[in-house]
Amino acid sequence: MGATRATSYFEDFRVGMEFHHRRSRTVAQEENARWSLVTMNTAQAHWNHEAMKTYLDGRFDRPIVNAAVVLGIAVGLTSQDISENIFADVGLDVIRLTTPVFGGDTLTAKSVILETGDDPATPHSGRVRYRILVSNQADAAVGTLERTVLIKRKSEWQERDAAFVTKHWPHRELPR
Amino acid sequence: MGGSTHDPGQSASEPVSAGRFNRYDDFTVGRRFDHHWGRTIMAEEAISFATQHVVHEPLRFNRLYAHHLGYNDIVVSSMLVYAIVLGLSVEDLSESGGPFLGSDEVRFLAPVYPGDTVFASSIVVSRRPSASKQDYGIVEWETSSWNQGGEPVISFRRTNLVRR
Repeated sequence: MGATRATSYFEDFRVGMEFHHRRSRTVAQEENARWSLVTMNTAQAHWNHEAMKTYLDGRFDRPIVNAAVVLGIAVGLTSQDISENIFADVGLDVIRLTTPVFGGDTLTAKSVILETGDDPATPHSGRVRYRILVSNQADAAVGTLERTVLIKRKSEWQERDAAFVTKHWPHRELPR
Repeated sequence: MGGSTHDPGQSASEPVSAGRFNRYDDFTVGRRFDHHWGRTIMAEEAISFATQHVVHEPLRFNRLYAHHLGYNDIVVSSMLVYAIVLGLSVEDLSESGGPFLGSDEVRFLAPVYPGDTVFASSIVVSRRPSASKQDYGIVEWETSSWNQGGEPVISFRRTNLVRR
C-alpha cells in the first residue's frame, strides 16, 4: 500500500458516491480544553467549567467543544477514504453547527461527493468537492460542511508514487 | 488591537484586567479589528493536530512524502490553520459568550509550513438581532490571515450569536 492507497486518486471519485466512514471519534473535555488553548481560543466556554454557570444564562452544565475541534475531527474522519491523496486544500463552505458537542460525545461522519472537475492552475490534480454530515452517539445531526480539495490524478502520480514506495519500503514487491 | 480594552482613565488602584468584551453594539458594519499576538506554528503541533484529529493525510506528518509532492516541508493541516486564526480572533470578536453558528467561504490561499508565523484581522460584515433570543444578536465577520512575508494564507467568514 505504501504512503497512500491506489484506490483514492482523483479518477476514483464520482459525483453521488457516498461514504460511511468506518471510524468514529470520542472527544474528551481535556482535548477540548487543550486544543482550544493551543489555538489561542480565549472563549472560556471551552475550558472553564465555572464559566458555564453564566454562559447562555447557565443553559449548559459543562463546557461545549470548540467548533474548530469538531470541524477538525469531522474532516479527519473523512480523510482516509477521500483525501489521503490530497495535493492541496482549496476551501470549506456552508459550515453549519446545529447541536452542541460536549466532552464524552462520539462523532461519526458520512460524506457524499458533490462535484469533480479540473483545476487549470494544477493540472496534475483535480478538484473534488464533498459534503460532510457529522452526527453524535444519539444519531443527532451535529453539523454539516462542504470541503473542496485537490486530489492527485492517477494518470500523473501513480508511477511517481510507486517509485516513492520502492524507495522507502525497499523489501516490497509492487504488484504489476 | 481594535477592540475596546483598557480604560485609560482607570485609577492606579483598580485591578487591571483585559477589559470588557465587545458586544453586539460594538460590531458596526465595516469596523476592523487587528488581532494582537500572532502565532508561530511548530512541526510537532502540526503533527499532533493531524494525528489527534485523525487527519490521515501523509502530507501532514511525513516530510519525505511532502518532499515527494514538491513541498519544502510537511504542510500544516488546513484545519489547524483555521483553528488558530479563528482562535486569534476570539478575544476581539466572540469572547462575550454566544456559540459559533457557522462559517462560509473558507479559502486556503497558500501552504503553511512549520516555523511560519500567522497574523490576523477581521472586519464586521453584517449583524442582525436574534429572532429567538432577545439578549443576543447574530454577527458575521470576515477574518483574514497572512504569514511573516505578508502572503495571505487563509480567509473566511464566521457567524456567531453575540450578547447584546
